[in-house]
Amino acid sequence: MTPSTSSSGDNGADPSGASSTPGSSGTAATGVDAADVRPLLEDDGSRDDPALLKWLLGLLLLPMGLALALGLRGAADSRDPRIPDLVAEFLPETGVSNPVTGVLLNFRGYDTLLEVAVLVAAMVAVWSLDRGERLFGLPRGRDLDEPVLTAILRLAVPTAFLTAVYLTWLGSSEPAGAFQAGALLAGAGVLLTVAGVLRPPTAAALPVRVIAAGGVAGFVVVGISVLPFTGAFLAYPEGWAYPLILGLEAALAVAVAVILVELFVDVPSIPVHDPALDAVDPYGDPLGRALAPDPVPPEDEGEAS
Amino acid sequence: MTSLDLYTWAGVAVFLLALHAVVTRAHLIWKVLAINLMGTGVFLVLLAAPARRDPLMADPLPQGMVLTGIVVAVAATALALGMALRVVARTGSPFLTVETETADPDPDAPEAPS
Amino acid sequence: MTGAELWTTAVVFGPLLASLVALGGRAWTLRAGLALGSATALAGSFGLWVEVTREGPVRHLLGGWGAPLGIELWADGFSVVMLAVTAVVGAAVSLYSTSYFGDLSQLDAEKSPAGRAARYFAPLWLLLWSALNGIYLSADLFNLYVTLEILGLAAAALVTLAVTPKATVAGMRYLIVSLVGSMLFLLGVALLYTEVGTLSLEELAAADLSGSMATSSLALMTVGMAAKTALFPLHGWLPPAHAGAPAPASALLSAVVVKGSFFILVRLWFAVYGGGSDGGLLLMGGLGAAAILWGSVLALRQRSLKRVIAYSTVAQLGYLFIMFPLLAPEGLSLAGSGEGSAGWSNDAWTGGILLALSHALAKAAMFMAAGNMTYAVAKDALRDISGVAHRLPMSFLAFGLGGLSLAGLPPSAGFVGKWLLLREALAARGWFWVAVITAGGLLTIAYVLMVLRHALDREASSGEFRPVPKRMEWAALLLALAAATLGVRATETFQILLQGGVQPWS
Repeated sequence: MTPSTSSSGDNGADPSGASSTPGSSGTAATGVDAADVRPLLEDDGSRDDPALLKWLLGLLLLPMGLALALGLRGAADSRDPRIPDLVAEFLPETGVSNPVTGVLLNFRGYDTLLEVAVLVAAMVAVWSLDRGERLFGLPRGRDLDEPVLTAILRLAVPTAFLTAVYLTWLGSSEPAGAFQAGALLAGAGVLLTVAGVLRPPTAAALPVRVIAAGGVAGFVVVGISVLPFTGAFLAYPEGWAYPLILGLEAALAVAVAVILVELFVDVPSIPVHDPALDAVDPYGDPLGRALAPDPVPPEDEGEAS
Repeated sequence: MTSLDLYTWAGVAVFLLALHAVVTRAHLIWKVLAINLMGTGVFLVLLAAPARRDPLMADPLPQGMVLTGIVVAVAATALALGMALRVVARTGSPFLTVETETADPDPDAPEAPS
Repeated sequence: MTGAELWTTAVVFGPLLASLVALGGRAWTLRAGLALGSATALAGSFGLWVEVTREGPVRHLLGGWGAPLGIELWADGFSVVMLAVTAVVGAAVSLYSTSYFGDLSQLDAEKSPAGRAARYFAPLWLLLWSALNGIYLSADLFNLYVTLEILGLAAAALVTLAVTPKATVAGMRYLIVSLVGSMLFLLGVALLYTEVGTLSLEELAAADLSGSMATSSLALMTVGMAAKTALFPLHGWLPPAHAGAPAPASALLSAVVVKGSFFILVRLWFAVYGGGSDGGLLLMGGLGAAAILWGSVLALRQRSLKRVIAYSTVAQLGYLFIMFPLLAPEGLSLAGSGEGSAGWSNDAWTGGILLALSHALAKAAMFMAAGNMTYAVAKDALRDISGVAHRLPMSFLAFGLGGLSLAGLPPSAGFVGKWLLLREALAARGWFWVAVITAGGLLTIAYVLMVLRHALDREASSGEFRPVPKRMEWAALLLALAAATLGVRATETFQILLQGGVQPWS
């Protein structure tokens, strides 16, 4: 990431991006360039635990490792697995022919739902972190000036999209599916973002939130709507399994892609630290209200002082 | 000993090496990477260790677990990296400050009377 | 579709959908989300309570598939009481939070820290709530891992809603501990699946778990969960995180989040592993005793209100681990085994869980009361809160009642819980445990009185006093009253806890 990329961000005027908006006592609106942060990330190992502790811990973990290794030796051959038989027996009822897809989207669909919820949780958590300037994106009206990059984008991005669609559909019969497709789409999205062609929307715009939430929402809605018919959450009715799974996979692929690109953009947009926050009482004033007093909502006035 | 055992042992080794790093390395990015690597170690174990009767029919359950686990690990690593960068931004240092446990650092030692 | 399916769906997916609603970005979506989450969680929890009382433990076969192919949700007495207390505390704190963060429509969500906290508290908390309820109902080992991850990520983010450098560091440390704990748990899951070939808790309970692989698995999972429950000596992350977070987040973290990993530990040790080993149970109890003593002594040494309360959490969680050795059939003690009750000790079971419930109610009330005091004066040092108590009598009362419940004074649930544990310890001739429980109670009284003394100090504080919205004071006081009087209604709790009991799948 070079300084020039960040200077082509939203304000454009400030190349280093490290100054705070004049007059604000709250969190600064602009961010820290990654180049400013890089020297802070150097590590010569001097702050690590002393070598003695490292060796002691190593000596402690070594026998544990050996014990585990011995215990696991030949584990693959010594037991008779039941699950593969059960999967083989019930796979025809799932509407898909690939056993892993059957496990992920039918037998253990609840886990997949929660997995996407983990992604949403991470995304919301990253949004809740203080954010600086968004690092990517060409100013409006600027064309990408680099012929090689443009050519690569023209080849790679449409291929990625097509392959992603194919992978989503293919998931029912081969190792493929929503997450693989979503990752590929995210890769294309990252490529576009880094090139500056895709301008990340400012902080958590509504369309992003809707699409990202749509994965989980779709899953839950499907799960609840089949409840009255089949008596269990996410129990697909007869004959509906395949279309529902395909629909869910499509929604998931898009949602996963959007979440991953969003994470890619938001994680490194580091805020400038407002030194006034150091003086705030960390337990008495965790939200830093002393710095920027919020308007007190009139209808909620408590006892008079 | 089958060749699968090598993968299982590699998984255990990666897990323990990464655990060692999380505990002993002070740098935040190191810790976050090490946590991610612990996950990779577990995935190796999950894929190689469970029973296999027939080389052509693999148990789909661990595969599903690993796929789910990879996504979860990505999400967790993203948040951890984001937080680590905020720590660097706020404190100017990529190391976690040590908390004194036995007594509160005096919250208002040099302060003027209120 | 029976009641089981309906209520379990409500309790897990209601808050999940509500969190997506709360992502809407407007002030009304936050309130709508919190309301929807609270309503579904309360309705589902009490609906399940009725269902389980009537029919005994119930299950919900997700996807229509039973274990071990699919994932099952299982509700027994233990699940139901944890769901219920989480719902009550959650609803109260949700109400509290709508006033604490201020009105989103008047705050800039991206520029002001309070605005950002206002915007993201609700979706993060609702995700967390959904995950917590999922943990209480899950009967599948890998499913527990995924829900734990949601819980951990959301909880760490709740800490970093506070913008001070201390909170950022505390949140980072919490996240690291949480993730390492999850990874240890996952390795344990991998080993157990390798050994037994199933992820279903019920099938695992029926399997032979005496081998070294199964024992290693329990060890790994225990260390992971102990780190997340801040069991001594892995407790160092908790005080800065719980004290540094904004008040509603502190309340939730201490009251309900740590109970999730504790729940998993109890299920693993007793329901799945049938009690583990005697040495292991003694170890857990011993660490719990150390937590009580260490946490309480350190609480006395703090000079900041929220840190006192946070160290109190470390101490009170220790009581929950003393339940481990006292549950055992022969009633282990360090003085040699005595004559406990045959089978599992009902006293220890109901007493320990009642302590968990009362701690949740009382600690949430105390953190909310402390939050009211800091809301008013933006200061947290003990000597600065004197005089505030006179202007916030409801919050002061809430703090006092919560503290009395923790100390174990009648008719609080804390009293009943401690009394039951003591009764079992005496019956089993476990003098060490008797001594620890008693000492812990005395130390608790000491640090509660320490805070109350500062608060009652006549000297009024000068400086700004920001009026505290009534609903914040009411939320704290109602929870504190619940904690203080729950002892009176303890019989209902006992009856439901015996549905399923310690080993629901034996």
